[in-house]
Amino acid sequence: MIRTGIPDLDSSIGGGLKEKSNVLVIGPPGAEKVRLALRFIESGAEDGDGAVYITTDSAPAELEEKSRKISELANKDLVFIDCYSWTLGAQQTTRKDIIVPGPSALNDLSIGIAQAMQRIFKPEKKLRVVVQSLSTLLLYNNPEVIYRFTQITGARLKNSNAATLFLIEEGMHDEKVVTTIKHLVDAVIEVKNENGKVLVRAPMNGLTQWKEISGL
Amino acid sequence: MPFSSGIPKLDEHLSGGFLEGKSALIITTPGIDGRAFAYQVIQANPSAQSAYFIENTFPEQIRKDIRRYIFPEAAFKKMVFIDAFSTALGLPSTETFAARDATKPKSILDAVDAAARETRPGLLVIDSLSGMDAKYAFAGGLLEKIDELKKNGVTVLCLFTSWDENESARIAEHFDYVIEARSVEDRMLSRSFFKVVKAPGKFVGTVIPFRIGFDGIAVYVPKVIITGPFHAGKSTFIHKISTKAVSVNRMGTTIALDHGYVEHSGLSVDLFGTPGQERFEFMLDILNKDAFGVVLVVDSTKPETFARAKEMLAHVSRYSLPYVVAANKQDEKSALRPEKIKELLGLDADVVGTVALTGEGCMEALKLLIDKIVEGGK
Repeated sequence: MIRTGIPDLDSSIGGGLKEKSNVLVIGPPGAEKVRLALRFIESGAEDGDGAVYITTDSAPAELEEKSRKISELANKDLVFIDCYSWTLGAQQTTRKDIIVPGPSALNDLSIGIAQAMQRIFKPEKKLRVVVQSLSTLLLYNNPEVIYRFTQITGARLKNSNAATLFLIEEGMHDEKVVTTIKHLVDAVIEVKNENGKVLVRAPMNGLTQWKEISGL
Repeated sequence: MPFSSGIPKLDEHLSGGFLEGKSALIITTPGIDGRAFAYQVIQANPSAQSAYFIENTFPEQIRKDIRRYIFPEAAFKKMVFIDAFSTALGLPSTETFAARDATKPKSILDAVDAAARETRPGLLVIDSLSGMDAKYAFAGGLLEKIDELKKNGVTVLCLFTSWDENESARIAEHFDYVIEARSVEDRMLSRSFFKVVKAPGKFVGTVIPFRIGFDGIAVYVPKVIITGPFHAGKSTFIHKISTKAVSVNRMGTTIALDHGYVEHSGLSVDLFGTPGQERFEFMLDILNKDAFGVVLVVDSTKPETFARAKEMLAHVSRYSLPYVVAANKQDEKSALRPEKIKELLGLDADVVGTVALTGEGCMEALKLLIDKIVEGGK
């Protein structure tokens, strides 16, 4: 089992997510999906797992600002794959992130993932991966290609002992697109925000009713 | 004069390189940097005018990417970009040749035409055809454009990331040369191979292992480690199947290592024998990046050594290296059958019966391993 790091959620899904699984995290904007993803990475550090964070929506530095733990982890047990900062061009940086030239350069992203794996892989070590987000990838690419990307990348990550969270915005894509992606993953975590309370549901993991979570 | 691919081993398979007025498709599985093949060709033909069509990132990113390699800068002096990306994001392009509106195939083809007319390139790289194909029906008419350019003597090299095998097979029909590059990934290890699957005239495509380094694409000779407990017959195994072999011996046992070299269906393999002692772990640690797989030789008459063999296999699987077990000394009366050994090792391993003294079964064992490696354990 791999803990999500959110006790309210872990206790309702039998302790955590399955090792070697691909999980879709879906919710409307403002539902704290990124917080949930960061919590997942943080708890990985507590468990001695390696982590890869793929970001298309925000700069790694911005994510680090949200969590001190994340900034401590970066470049040690956490590798960022940055598909966001590419437009900044040749700006000098001391960061060791893997830079991908934009969300439409999908093959570069695949190469980046392979590099990240080689950088942090240790035998017997579990891996946690976050893809933030499929929504941006869908915005820049043909959905058919993203289905294949999700399938191929997901299979490879599983092969590398990884549990992966794929984040997707609710209400931004055709229902058909979301349904197809749901078929490609092993589990779905739904998130919503109601009057400041964050609620989750994970029907495929036995949590069929919405449940309030704290500690994000 | 054909355009050299910049990879001597590949040129051999192409009878010198890509011919004038022909088209080549480089199909790569996701995770392989197909651009490295394009750069390799361009830098190998520095005096040829070349054009680089890019639709998935800014041309500036490609310039930056090229600078990661140690190619001489002058090698790219005669290259121009055809920018089919910037304007799709609503940004102005700083390139001489750019699609006025890269969301429209017509505008993209116009930019290709302008570059072809004004620079008369000998070589055109399309990065990437898969991207164009995903964005527009019939790749936005690019295939027809390629045929037109070929008639004017342009050699066109198209990059294609294959997210879907059927798609790439359909596209491959349009090309004179088809090269497939794929990688077999297993945890930390990634092994890449390319293969010429189509070329004008006669050819026999073989699988060629390669790696992309700071100096571009390098073909290398994979290493196979032959190991096993004490006196299992490792040295004999190597000497029997090798074209050339040496070993360093002291009092009948190998103290440093055995080295051999073997060719199997066009693929050359270096064999390294390791002594049965702790050195094996050490060897594995230093060779693992180049190691392709392991043949574990066991003495079928000595089940008491199997515990050690199992330990060694455990170490091999930590590196996720493919392996086969050679159940050696099958000619002896007390030898256990391969099936029995498989059971005793308690592993889902392929066990092949061998007699290293006569060579019986040895090549079969190695062949099985190579097939496993190339097929990625399929």
